[in-house]
Amino acid sequence: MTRRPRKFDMVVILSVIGIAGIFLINTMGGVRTVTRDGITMNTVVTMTVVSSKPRRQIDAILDEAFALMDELDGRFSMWNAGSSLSEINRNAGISPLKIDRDMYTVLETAVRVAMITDGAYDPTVGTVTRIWRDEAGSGRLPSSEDIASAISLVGYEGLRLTSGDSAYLENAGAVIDLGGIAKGYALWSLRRLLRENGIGSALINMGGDVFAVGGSEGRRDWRIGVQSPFKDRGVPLCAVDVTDISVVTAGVYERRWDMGGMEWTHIYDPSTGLPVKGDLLSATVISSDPIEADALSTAFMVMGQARSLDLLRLLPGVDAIFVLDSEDRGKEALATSGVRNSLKMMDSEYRLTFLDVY
Amino acid sequence: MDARFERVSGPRRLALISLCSAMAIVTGAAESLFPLPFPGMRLGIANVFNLLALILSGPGSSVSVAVLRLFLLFFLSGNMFSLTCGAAGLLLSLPVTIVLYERHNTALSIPAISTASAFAFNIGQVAAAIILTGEPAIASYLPLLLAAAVITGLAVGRLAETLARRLRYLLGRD
Amino acid sequence: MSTDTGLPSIKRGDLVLYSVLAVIFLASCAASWFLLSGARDRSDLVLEAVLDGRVVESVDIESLKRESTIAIKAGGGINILSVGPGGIKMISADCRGGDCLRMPMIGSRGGIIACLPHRLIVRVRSRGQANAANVNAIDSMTY
Repeated sequence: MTRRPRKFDMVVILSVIGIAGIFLINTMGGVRTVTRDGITMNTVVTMTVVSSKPRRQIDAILDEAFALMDELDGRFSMWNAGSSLSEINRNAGISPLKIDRDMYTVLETAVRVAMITDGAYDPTVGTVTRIWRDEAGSGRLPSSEDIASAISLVGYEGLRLTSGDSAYLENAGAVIDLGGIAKGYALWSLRRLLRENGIGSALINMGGDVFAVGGSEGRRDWRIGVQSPFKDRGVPLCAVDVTDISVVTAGVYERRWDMGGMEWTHIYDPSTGLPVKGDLLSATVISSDPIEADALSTAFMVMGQARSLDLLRLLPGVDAIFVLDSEDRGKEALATSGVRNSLKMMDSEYRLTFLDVY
Repeated sequence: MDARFERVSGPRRLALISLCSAMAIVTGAAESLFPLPFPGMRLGIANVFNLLALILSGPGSSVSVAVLRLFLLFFLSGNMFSLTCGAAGLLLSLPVTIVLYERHNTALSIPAISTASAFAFNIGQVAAAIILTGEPAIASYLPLLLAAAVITGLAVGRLAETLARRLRYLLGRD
Repeated sequence: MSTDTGLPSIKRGDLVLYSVLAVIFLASCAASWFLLSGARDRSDLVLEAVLDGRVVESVDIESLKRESTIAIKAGGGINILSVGPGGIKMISADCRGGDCLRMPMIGSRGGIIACLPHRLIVRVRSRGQANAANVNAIDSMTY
């Protein structure tokens, strides 16, 4: 007896194949990694987000993240006349200004780091950066009179922060430059934004300042490479495996230019008004607070090896990797012992020493 | 000449599906002990019972047995990967088997249909494994699996044919 | 109908179907030969441990003169590989099931071992392939 499949059979077949299909698609979706590059905060930003959310939702979160960076850039840039920072600078020596909580947090951290580094990092270094930037185009060095008058206005003591919502620069003409700390604050804000949106695993690279949010997929550490000075970008000296921590580097090999027969860099010593000429090629700071890490990395370049290591003794939980400027003694790097287990050497030309600073 | 068996329906059909599913689960659990080059993959011996259900009671019963086995084995083992691989294998092999048996029954023997089904099953499993792991090299196990599929396919077909004949007698007439 | 003889029944369409299956089989052989042909010279082989699609460990096989073990942290557990002249094998894993322990040894022909509960894949690639895919498995650079 022959019989065509009954309607019931066909319904069963189709529905089961349909269910199996949906099931397969769902299983294959799984956790996805979405990476987006963009230019904001005056640098290249790469954000990698790991999440099981739908692609559309992740894209929306990334949109929001990049919009946030644009917004922060507008508030913290000393070069942008419309920024709230410029407003504080314009009111220097005139009157205290009401500021929002974001700005207060940044300035407060800036002053705190300035205090512990004894002014090696100073948020009021703006007068110095301004004269160097003004001369950068012309190829001439700023005159020593210009530098002297610029450094006379530098001094974090002159920045008064009161009652959680007001900032005042006492010296007329003083200028706050948050260049050494704004990226750190942006990283911190981005993590808050990601967490609010239910993303616990992400990697943000803001022009070399890295914030590993959570672990890679909540399981494994993120592996962050530390640039080998003067080699091609992306060639690591070593790598550190980290979770939920920021890794920020300041180096003299970045943004160098020739002026007056000498090589200059973008990091200035607030006490001399000159680009740093210390004994470090780069200082990498590993800290759970990206704002602090950003400011400290700049300060360490100014302070040099010995003073930096002294300061690190007082900062438990903060680790650092220094690349020494010691051509004559061979290539040398130092790392605090806190990263002993997570550090992997990659450039065999360098000799690495771990230091027990605590 | 149509070589198909008279089909079972009604309560006997229900009994057949239950019987086949139960045996398929036991067989599936047993065959998961057999090591294959890739964890979660199966030889597909348990497919003998979908084929049996197809022969005796049509495509609907066959799909029911296959899906019941798939999910019950998943509940027993909790192996998500195995479930996905199995689902992908069945997604390919069930349509192949049903179309060949329903449309070309007079021209094809059951062991031949079963071999084709085993091929489809293994290709589906490997495809799922490649997609899940993002590792195309898994495809290099395909020749091995297909060679095994010839043996299991022929054996499964022969077994299904014999079982069908005997069970049909046992199940009696409506 | 040869139903009662007990001999395998062969029908006229069977040969056609078997031919089709033979073609599929040969195609799969060709595909797998193509996939494995990349890695043959042992001195050029790199073992890679891939977790969630990213290389977490990469070992030059040539540099391993004798039998040694490599431990890989993955998915909340540990997988231990034995790497030696004979090939690579998973020798210990604290995953459920332990399917990876039953997977065959892989070696110069290429191939992979997978521990699915830990989402770990161990594969052998030629150095060229490995370098192109991942430089030192670094996620991001600080500079």
